[in-house]
Amino acid sequence: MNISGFSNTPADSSLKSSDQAKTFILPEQCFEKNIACTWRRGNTFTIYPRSQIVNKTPTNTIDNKILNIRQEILLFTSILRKLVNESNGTFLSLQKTAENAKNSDNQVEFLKLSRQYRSIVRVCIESLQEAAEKETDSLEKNSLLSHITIFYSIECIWHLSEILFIDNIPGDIVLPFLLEWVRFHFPCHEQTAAQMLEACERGSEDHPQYWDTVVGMVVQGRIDVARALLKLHSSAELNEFKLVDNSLRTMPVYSVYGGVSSGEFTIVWKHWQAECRSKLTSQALTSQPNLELIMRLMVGEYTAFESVRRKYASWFDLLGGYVLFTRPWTRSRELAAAADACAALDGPHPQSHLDVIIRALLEGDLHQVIHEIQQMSDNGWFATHLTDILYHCGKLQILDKHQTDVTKRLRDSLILEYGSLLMEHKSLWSVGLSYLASCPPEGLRRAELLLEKIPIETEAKAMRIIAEAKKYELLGVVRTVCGCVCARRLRGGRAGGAVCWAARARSGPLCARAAHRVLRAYCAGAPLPAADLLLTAGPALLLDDTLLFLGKYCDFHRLYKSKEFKKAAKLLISLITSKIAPEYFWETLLLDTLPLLESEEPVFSSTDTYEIMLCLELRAKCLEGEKAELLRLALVRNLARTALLDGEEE
Amino acid sequence: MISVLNTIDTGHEDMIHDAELDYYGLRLATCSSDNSVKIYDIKSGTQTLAADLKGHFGPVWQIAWAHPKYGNLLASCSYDRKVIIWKESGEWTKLYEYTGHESSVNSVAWAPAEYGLILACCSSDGSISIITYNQDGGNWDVKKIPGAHAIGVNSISWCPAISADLNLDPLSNKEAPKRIVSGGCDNLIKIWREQGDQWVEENRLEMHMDWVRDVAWAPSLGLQHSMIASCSQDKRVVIWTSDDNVSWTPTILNTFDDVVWSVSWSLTGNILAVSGGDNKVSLWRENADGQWLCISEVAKGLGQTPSEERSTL
Repeated sequence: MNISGFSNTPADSSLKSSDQAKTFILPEQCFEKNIACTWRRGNTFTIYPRSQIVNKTPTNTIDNKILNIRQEILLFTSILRKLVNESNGTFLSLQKTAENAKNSDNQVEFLKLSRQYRSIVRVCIESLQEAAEKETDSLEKNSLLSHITIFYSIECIWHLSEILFIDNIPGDIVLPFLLEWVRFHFPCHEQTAAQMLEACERGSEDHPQYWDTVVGMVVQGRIDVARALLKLHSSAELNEFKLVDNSLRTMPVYSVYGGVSSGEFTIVWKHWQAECRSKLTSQALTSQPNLELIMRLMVGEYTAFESVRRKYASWFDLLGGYVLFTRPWTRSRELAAAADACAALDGPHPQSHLDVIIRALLEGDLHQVIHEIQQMSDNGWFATHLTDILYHCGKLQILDKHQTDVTKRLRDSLILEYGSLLMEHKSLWSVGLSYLASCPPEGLRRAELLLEKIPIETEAKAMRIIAEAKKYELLGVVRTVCGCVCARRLRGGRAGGAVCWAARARSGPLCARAAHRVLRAYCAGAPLPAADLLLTAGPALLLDDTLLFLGKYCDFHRLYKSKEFKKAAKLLISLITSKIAPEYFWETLLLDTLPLLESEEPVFSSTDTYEIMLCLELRAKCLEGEKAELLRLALVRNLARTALLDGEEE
Repeated sequence: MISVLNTIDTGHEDMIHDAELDYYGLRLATCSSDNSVKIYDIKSGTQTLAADLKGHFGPVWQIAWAHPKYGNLLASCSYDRKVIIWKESGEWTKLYEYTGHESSVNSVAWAPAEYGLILACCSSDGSISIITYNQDGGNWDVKKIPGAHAIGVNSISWCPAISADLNLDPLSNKEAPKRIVSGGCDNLIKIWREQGDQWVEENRLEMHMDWVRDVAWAPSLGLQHSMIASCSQDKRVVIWTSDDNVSWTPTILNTFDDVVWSVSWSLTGNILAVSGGDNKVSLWRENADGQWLCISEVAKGLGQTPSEERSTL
């Protein structure tokens, strides 16, 4: 199955049309009739044999297996978790910087962030290397090595993109940066050179790599190193050597701050090269073919580059040297010609994926670059982050076939896919959320859909989801999650907790359901929920009458327990007269008056007593038989002792 | 690469007609011609049979999980003309049985949870029922659309609560209409809208040339853009789009080699899975130009190893 198929939404049809759908053959012969698919979250789905017809003649060959299928996601490898988390930090600072950059030019900041990304990739490569060295299982080792290859390529492409599109190169003279790029990513011969220089022995030419190394240094523009190496040759005193050394020493190097205009520099440089060429034509070097080769490279002779090409893995190795000895003043926009020339050194070889990307970069065809890097097996990490930074730098402009600018759409779609992907992971989901949130409005809506579906194993997890949802003001998610936890509490018979979650969900019907459950349980002999539970509910009590009743009733118990009988009685009367008590609760409510009626000091006034009597008569069905008689007696006795008392008070 | 996470041997004694994952993707329900509905826990890579529900007396066509905020509820519909709503409270028991149809009930679908606990079902008797749980009374109210499709209704799907006409957000505006799409044996797709206490036909979409087998309203991303996928015995899959839920534009996604039985949207509505008689599940997505492209296929195996991978860097 095509991984990129999942992770990309190309903005342009030309991006996608070249891709072919991958067919994934199920490993088992399991479905005879029809198959169908049902979705789980994200990239997981289930395949099952689906039949539309009734089987008239049952057969014995029914193989009713169901397959859960998942796209393998490289980024979920534990070793790459650090990459995901750290790049998220950089991504978020980038969004902030971009926000601020609206008012001021912030190219320097962008460069810093781009370097940050690169250093994250570097750390990732190092940890992969470390793991690969330790790994003993050959299959695992192979997969680690293939990851390393992927991230090497990413590092290399990112660095070049940074030079060409993010960095603000003085005078746009790209050569020193290009040489640096070549040296960093294709460090051919560097070690041998260092070893020879360290040994510092005359007669180093005995080393089998001596000339390759010298030429390598020249091609990488490390002129000083090349000269030092030449001095180690046992014939370094020969005229030929001195001649080449002199030419190398006098090679003009352009610097924007050197006080020389580029026009002047061009003249000086051409003059130098003409001198070199005259030395070649004078046949002064024919006795030393290696020195002659170096000189030929220095005058930018194409055949010389051709002759050394096969010593290098790719044409990128030679790119820096080629520019150095043909047009050192090349600006970054003019690199395409040099790239063409260097790529042509290969002859008609098939191009590698990296070839295509590097050439597209040098040609400034970012559209192609992004298309190509989407094909890399990194689940869109690279395409997402590089596109985003190029977009914010204002270097990306992609038009669709109707010439409308779809740059933002491309950037958004990549981020949305990447964010959605992370949402699937059991601990990276909050990282994914931050990506989705950076693409409103669709991102937030997606976040909502995905966030609600994260399994809530524990209440702590529920709280985490709620906290994240609140951060992005996804209040609908908060309500849904609270509602689900509430429903689960109810199912588990924990009504007290359910009330609490219902109040959090701010849902009237849920509050009512939970509160009824508590009250019914209390009637059946269960204890009331802890008092503090309801005190914290505060204004949420107003969501529903039953909940309010429950709150007040708990309050009554609290007063009674702390022996504040007068207050308790007053509250109880107000509960009785307000008539919000559920039908099934009247018996309990009326019987609660009994101990208060029979207290030593009367706490119910005669008016209160009349109210209770009225209720008892109106709701004769709620309280019958002996209990009713007992209550009547208590009421009458209380009336007897309070009737006069009330008169006195008045 | 994709891989098979695990295989569940369902133990159904006859053909399976539907499999549905619950809201969190942690449980799988299946139903079969053996008259039973089975529920599996598929946490952490292993699966255990959690319940084997017996209550139907005919093949069970389809099942649907309700939103977890209403508890663990599962609806099933069967050839025996019944719809059963099952509830888990400790054990799975029958919560409600609906017997209002005169023929096989082909499809069940819960409404978006925002609307409350509402179930729609449709039958070969040509009618659609909308069953609403009444919180106060604790009972179920039934509204019926008789003669929705001649010969029979094969499939129904609800319009998401947050949908194209955003100015009528149903969460804040009680007037916002609920909608259902249905596909039937009259080759038509119809869109129904709740008006007062009735359901009225708002639209009929004509395109298919044979029975419509499945319809699926895409999840909404709040982009003022509705999408419905439909598939038919005419081997075609059609995508219907609308900016206002009133006027609809069809696009033929593809014409397949065989009858297409089902279409289903991924959670965020960006990928459509199509499956049919050709023993393949193909995954489709729309590019920015509005073209639909097949991104992957999953096909019946003949014992081969997975096809070669795309060469990577």
